[in-house]
Amino acid sequence: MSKLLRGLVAAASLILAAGCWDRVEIEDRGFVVGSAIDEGKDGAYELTFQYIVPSAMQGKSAGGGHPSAQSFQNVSSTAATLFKAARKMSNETSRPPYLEHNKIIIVSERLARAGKIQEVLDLFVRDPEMRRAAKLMISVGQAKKLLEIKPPIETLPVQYINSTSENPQKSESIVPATTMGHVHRFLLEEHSFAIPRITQTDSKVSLSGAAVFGSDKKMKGFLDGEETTGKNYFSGTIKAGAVEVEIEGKPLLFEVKRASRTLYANVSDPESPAFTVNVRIEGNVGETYSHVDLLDPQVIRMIENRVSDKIREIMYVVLEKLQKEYKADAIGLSDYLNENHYRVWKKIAADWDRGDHLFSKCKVDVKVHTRLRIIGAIERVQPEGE
Amino acid sequence: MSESASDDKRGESYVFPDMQENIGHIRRMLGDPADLVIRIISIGGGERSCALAFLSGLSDKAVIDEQIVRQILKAGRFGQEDTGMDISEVLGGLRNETMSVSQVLEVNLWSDVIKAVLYGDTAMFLEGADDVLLIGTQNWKERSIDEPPTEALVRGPREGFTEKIETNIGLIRRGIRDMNLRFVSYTIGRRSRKTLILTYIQGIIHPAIVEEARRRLDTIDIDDAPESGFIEQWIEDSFLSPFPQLLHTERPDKVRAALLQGKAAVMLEGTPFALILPTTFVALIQSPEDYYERWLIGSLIRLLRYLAVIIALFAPAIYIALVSFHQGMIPFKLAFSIAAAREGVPFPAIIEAMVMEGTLELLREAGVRLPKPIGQTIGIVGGLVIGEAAVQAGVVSPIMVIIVAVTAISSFAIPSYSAGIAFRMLRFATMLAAGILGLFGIILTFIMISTHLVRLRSFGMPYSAPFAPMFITDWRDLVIRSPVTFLTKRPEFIQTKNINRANKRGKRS
Amino acid sequence: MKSFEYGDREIGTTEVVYGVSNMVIGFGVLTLPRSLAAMTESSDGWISLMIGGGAALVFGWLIALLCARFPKMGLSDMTKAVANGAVANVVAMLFACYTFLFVGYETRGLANISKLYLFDRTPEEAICLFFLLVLAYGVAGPSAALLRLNLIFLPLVLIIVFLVLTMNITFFNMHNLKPLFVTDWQDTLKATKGTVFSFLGFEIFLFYNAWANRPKAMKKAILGGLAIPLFIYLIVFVFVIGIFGSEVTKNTLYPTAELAKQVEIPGGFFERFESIFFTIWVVTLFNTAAMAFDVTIIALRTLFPKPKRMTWVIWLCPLIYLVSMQPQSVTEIDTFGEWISYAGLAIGWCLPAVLLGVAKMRRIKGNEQAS
Repeated sequence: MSKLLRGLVAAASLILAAGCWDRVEIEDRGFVVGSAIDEGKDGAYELTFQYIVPSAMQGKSAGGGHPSAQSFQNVSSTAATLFKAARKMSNETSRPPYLEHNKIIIVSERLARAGKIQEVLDLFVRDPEMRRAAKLMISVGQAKKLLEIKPPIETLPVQYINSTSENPQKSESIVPATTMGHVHRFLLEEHSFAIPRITQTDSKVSLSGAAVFGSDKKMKGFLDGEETTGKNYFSGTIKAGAVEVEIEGKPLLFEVKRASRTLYANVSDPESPAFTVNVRIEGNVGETYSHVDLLDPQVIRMIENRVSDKIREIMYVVLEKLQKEYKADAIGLSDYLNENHYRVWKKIAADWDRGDHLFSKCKVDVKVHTRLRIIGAIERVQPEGE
Repeated sequence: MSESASDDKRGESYVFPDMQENIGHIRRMLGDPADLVIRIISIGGGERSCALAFLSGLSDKAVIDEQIVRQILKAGRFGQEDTGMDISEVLGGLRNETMSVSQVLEVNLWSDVIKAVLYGDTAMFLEGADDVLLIGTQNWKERSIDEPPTEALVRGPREGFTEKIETNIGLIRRGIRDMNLRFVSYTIGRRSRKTLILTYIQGIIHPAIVEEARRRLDTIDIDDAPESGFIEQWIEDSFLSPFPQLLHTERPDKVRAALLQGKAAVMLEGTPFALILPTTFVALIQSPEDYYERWLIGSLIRLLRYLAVIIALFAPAIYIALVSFHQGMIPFKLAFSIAAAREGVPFPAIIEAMVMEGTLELLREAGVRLPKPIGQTIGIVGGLVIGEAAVQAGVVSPIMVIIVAVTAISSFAIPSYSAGIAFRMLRFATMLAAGILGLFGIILTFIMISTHLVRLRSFGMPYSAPFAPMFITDWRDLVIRSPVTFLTKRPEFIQTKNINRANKRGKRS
Repeated sequence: MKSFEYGDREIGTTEVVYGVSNMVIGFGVLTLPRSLAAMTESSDGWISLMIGGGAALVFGWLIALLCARFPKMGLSDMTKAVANGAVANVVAMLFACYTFLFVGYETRGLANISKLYLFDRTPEEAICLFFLLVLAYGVAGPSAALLRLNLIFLPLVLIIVFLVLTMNITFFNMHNLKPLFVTDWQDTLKATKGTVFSFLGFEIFLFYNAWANRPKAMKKAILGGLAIPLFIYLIVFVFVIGIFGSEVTKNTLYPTAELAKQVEIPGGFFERFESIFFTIWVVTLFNTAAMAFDVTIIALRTLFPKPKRMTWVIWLCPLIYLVSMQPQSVTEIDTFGEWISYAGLAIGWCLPAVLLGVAKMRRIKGNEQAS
């Protein structure tokens, strides 16, 4: 026993003396909170990391310190591979990059369109230092510009973008944040998908819209805000939203509280499966300027129909665009076939949104059922009979 | 002087019939000490005389004056030489009719006499008698029964053991008026000759525990055992273990509860600390108050203490591991504020933590040793050093100060003081391991501690019971302290002879 | 003293249940979902799992029968009773080699995963060294204590697994499980091989049978102990597929750890739950390795009774270290594991079955009074 003990002590002191391989103190880490990847010269990649300057962050919250100092620092580096670019950065900054807190990965539109998304993201999925929860976005224009904006409320641009991307609860035109975990899956499975789009206007960013990728992993194009809404109705990822309809020439805002989608496919002819999409919506009146009697069942039915029509309209627009222009099934029809009509799907999988482009030819019927539950806390704000 | 009886070198020496000779002998034996009082009285004012010998500091003067000397002076009928009584009848008469003291013995061995006098009894030598009367006059200035300072409770009896073993026995008897309560006495110490009591309840305790305890107590051979800590170290199972294998307590209620659970206790004369055996790991974390409070409160407090153990053991280690190895585990914003706070700190986290924890231990030690009025200074100095100044000087980060404070508080929340020390000691090991291997090091130390606990035994009882080996019925009084009405069984792991301690509520049989 | 010395060398039924589960739950949970998803389509791996589990239960039952037939006897004694001393020695030797290699594999695998998830630059050699030191400390004590350790560690592991699963419940997507029953029979059977392997380990209780205090209850204990890992495997597999989908699972080295990786404790004190998850996992790997090591020593001591336990520990540790350092890459570790699994299947499962058959034919029974 004591021999063993002595051996242990000896080994421990030896290890201590030799130094501990992995010990890097927290203040020596270069915390990266966001990264942007752009195209460099000659097919090289330009990698930009947003580093935190902890002392400046602290200074702001404590009121003292150096309030003028910037709390973040962007460093870029260009190399043929991303790993090398990151390595190069270690040579140029005092603190080597540490990516465990990397929240956001922004890839530029050009890279995405060139079909390089797989190459770009390999490092981010492979390295165990990376998180599956990091979010991926596709930027319109240069990606690293987005990391440089001066955000209105938050201290860090990344924090600003990150918080904004978590808003689908309130906004229907943002596709749900796509984490690296999801992306990993998209990259492995052979179907199309959508990733949030990020656009910059002055010192603000907007996350509405989506970038659509085909099953060849090339970006096909963007969907704008309204189209994204339609896409969300198709995928059943609507958490909340608002639909504006006109009642008697005046606007009425219908607030979507709950939305669900069910799919049904008729695969009697495997070459052209026919889909029926049923969307059920529940909600209430958010705001209205019209004078209709909201307690009248007839009026309610009318509002419901208008809302249904409006939503169907939106959905058909996006369907048209996906089927005809992008030829990419980003609305999950292929998943449905795979899950429920496995054998049929196996036959046509190769020709779905590649080859014969069966997706572009298939018939999709959209049905929307709206229920108006609550008219709001009040019936009207104008006196009756005005 | 004639050495008629005492020259028998192998065996015992007997008391002489001659009184003066006896007086001389006892003086010689004890080296004629200043506190030896010899009082020669003529019985009832007659011709016959006797001598009283006692040690003034150990005996009750009032009893000797009132109940012995006075009575002897009045006992006229034994004083005359011509009453026809023979000398042993006189002695018997004095013993039976004169002394108004409850404890009187008749002996004739010098060793008994000396021992009794050293214990504070009074020896009465009657001129011409072969025997000596030993009169129980022991009296020792005794501390009153106070609330035990090391184990104060908010709710619970305010009595604690004292240094006097008779009082302590009384305190236990007063709570368990059961005829099966046993007190086995031992004399410990070749020179100190102190009384040691092993107590248990016959019929509840498993006989093997008693047997084992007696076997171990019999092996004690030492000149003096000043405190029960000596006994503890002599009879414990493993001296390598950092964990106490016998629980020491000043509280009679704790001992009584243990006895009723089927455990045994050892009490030593001259110390208020009794030892409870066998002890388990869980017992270190339990306090009598868990049972005095209502069960929800008791359970919550107990959970809190388990948490305290975990914090006391691992908090600084986890801090080190997170700050030096796995920064990714610290949430986003906290990571940056720690990084900012540590910006100016010149040491790695392990050194920082070691320095701070070391300082804390020093402060604690200094605080214990200092007299009370100066003790406050330590508090102020310590507070300044550990807190403000160290941070201001940039030697340590503010987070470290919080960690140190939390671990200190947690380690003091553990009811058993010696267990608290054990945990604090192990804390340094976990910190070191965390400094070398991060979380992996922490888990390796955790494995080692667990292995050790499972292997450790206290008087043959597995120390980690009732976790491992598992006794599922004991779990109702483990992490959660179930309502008293549910605690109807004695702990199973002690394998008591008598299992039920209560009937189910409302059912009498 | 006899009655009181609560089984310092005796092993209760609870210990057997926990010990069997802990022995079986090792790397299996971490790697099994990947190998299953790679061989089967969609979520059909569960069928293979059930078949593999069924096979394990059958062999478990046979081993339990053997144990109950020869109460208070280890495998060597059983073999001696059925065949002769020479055969018994060969069996003990084979078993010792098997468990010895198993410890090496386990140690290396542990170092490998820790390197991936906890360390960056720390060499695997150092991780192995530290682990082996702790292992040596663990094995230095009595076997019964090691088995009791299971009672503390297994609940920890179960808690952490369920914690990870519940925290992932929001990511669970029923659609990922569909379509059902699409894998053909051959693939399902092929995948079964991997699942059978992941149930290996409990055969070491053939040796611990010598100290089991209720040999009659062995059957229940072993089967119960096997049911826990079967359940865990099933639920973990379903969750992994339900969360990642088949494709991702196929392409992730340790899907279960990845599951822990995406947990984000809301407002929590810790991020990166997988580090905690993995840290706890070390505990079960330790226990598995320690029990295997213990059995190696027990088997060797039946062959060479002279040297003390401690001597064996001190001599075997460097050897295990050498063995564990042999594979050079993940694929080599896997191959190494596969060999060991085949050996385990032959020595640990088939051999006892044969033994039982011979014993039944020759009507040999163990000591009746001992039960």
